[in-house]
Amino acid sequence: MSIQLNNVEFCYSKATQKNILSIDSWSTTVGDRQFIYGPSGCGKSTLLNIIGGILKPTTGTVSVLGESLDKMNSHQRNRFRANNIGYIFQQFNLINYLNAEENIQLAHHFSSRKKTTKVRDKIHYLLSDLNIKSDDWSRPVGMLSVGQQQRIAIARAFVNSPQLLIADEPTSALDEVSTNNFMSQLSTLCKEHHTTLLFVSHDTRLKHHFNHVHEFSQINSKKEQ
Amino acid sequence: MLIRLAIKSLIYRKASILLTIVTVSIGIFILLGVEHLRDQTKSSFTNSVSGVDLIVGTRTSSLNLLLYSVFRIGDPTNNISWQSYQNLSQHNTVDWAVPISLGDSHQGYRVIGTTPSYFDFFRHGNQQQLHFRHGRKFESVFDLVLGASVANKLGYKIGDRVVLSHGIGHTSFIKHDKLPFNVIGILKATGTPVDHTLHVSLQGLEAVHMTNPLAIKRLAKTPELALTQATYLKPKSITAIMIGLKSKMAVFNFQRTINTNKNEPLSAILPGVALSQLWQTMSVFDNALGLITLFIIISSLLGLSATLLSSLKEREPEIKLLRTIGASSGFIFLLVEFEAMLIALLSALIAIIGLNLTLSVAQEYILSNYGITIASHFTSTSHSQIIIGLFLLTFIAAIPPALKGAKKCHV
Repeated sequence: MSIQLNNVEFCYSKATQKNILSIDSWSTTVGDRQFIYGPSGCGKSTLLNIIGGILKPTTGTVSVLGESLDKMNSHQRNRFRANNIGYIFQQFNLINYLNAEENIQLAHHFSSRKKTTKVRDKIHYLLSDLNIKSDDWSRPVGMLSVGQQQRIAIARAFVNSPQLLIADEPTSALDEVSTNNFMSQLSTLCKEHHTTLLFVSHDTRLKHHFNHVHEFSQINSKKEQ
Repeated sequence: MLIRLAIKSLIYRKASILLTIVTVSIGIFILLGVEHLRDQTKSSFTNSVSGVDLIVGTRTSSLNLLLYSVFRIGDPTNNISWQSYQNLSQHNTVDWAVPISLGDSHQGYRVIGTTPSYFDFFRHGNQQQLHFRHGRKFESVFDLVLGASVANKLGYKIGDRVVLSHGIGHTSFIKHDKLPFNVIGILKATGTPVDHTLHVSLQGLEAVHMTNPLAIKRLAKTPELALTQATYLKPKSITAIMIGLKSKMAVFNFQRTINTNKNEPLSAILPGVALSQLWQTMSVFDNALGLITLFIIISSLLGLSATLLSSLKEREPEIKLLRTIGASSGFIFLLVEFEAMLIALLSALIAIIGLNLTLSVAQEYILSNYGITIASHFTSTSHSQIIIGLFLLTFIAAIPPALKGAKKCHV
């Protein structure tokens, strides 16, 4: 099992007791490419943050890659996330004032992988693989196009060879051509690295890139109060 | 990585950061400048006389004797007899004794009557002798040696004729205009009260205070009268005596001998001790000045804190991203702290360079206008404690923004 959720509930404020999430049981297996769709504001990002260990569930157990996240302290979860999970967001994927290489190095810096010179080769390989011209490697990413930035974000997510990749609406700022490019490159890399992909979007046209498709409301049995 | 991130992030936000650096460097500039000035004023003050073992005057408080004999402030309460001077100068522990006589002035500057040996034995600062910029010490009765500031301010040069006034004060009704003095020498600036003094011979002072008009007329005809030929102008009394002893060990014994003198009420003071006592009385102002500069630096560091705090809002996505890719809250804390330290470091560098430049330009001006010698070279090593304290304060000032940053998107 790559991800296993049991009886997970989450609410932001304990005072209101208003649950955002309520999941009885949900799991994925290694190498799955999961697509979860649903309208914005329904709690998709909250689910991703719980699986990524950024948020702690109010109740229930979260097991990711065989580790119980709910039993870890915040330091352990930071470490775990840096080492095993790649992240791609809709925006603010990169630090504006750093260049592409530095942004990717930063992700490597926070992981416990050995700091070797080989990482530069890997970064260069990933960047060329994702069609980023070498001229653009040392320019501040703020000067690059959104499409380029999202592809650099893929490289950043893959530099630590994560076992799980979490993508939160990564294509919503892209046009159709860029989206197709992005999706095919993401899929290829996931296959190459045997990475489990957890992809969340409101755009159901992307369905065909995945082997598992869920509507978010099917997973979340949250009762409206 | 932390360092590179901090530097690049500062460069990225250069507009607001530059403004902060300017604010903080002005604060540091004032802090170090005032500190340096306090330091230099104190040493300039306590160095106004050195190499003199004892100053002897009439029986009075040590502070009063010091003020009128060294700083030419206030009035001598009484004179001492010439006989006492002769007795003391012939004492077997005394190496040299220089008499001084006060009471006259010229346009507000005090006149001191003394012997030519004053220029040989008087020391200031670190045992520095008096040096002549122009001319030489006096040899005739009506020769006059000017302190550097007097010559500068009044524009006198060698050969000028100067009339003394009786009493002290800018306007005097009695001028010794029958017997003018001849400027024969101008001293180099010392940064001590010597710069504000006119030096004449004791015999010269005696001459201008004569009341017999015939004698004055006769003297007026011989302006070149040599000191050696004017034995009849021997003074009857003087204001104080500067004494150098053969052995420093004898100083306390000799002081007691003078203080318990049965023939005439005398008191002897150790100038170094009296100077530090005097400085102590001024420590209130000194401390107040220190407190003000401390407040200035604290307010500029609070400004730094405010800038960092308000920048956190625009940096929220950046911090969130760092946290997501695995940065701990400690990393964010250190990042903000490190940025604050970089700002403080840059500001300190700018302030130190600025201060050195300012001092080298202002040095001459301060010496000639305020009589304070300021070392133009300000080195951070001499004020390393202040710099270390500054970084500590910066660290403390940056704690609120650093904590707030670290708590953002808490996990």
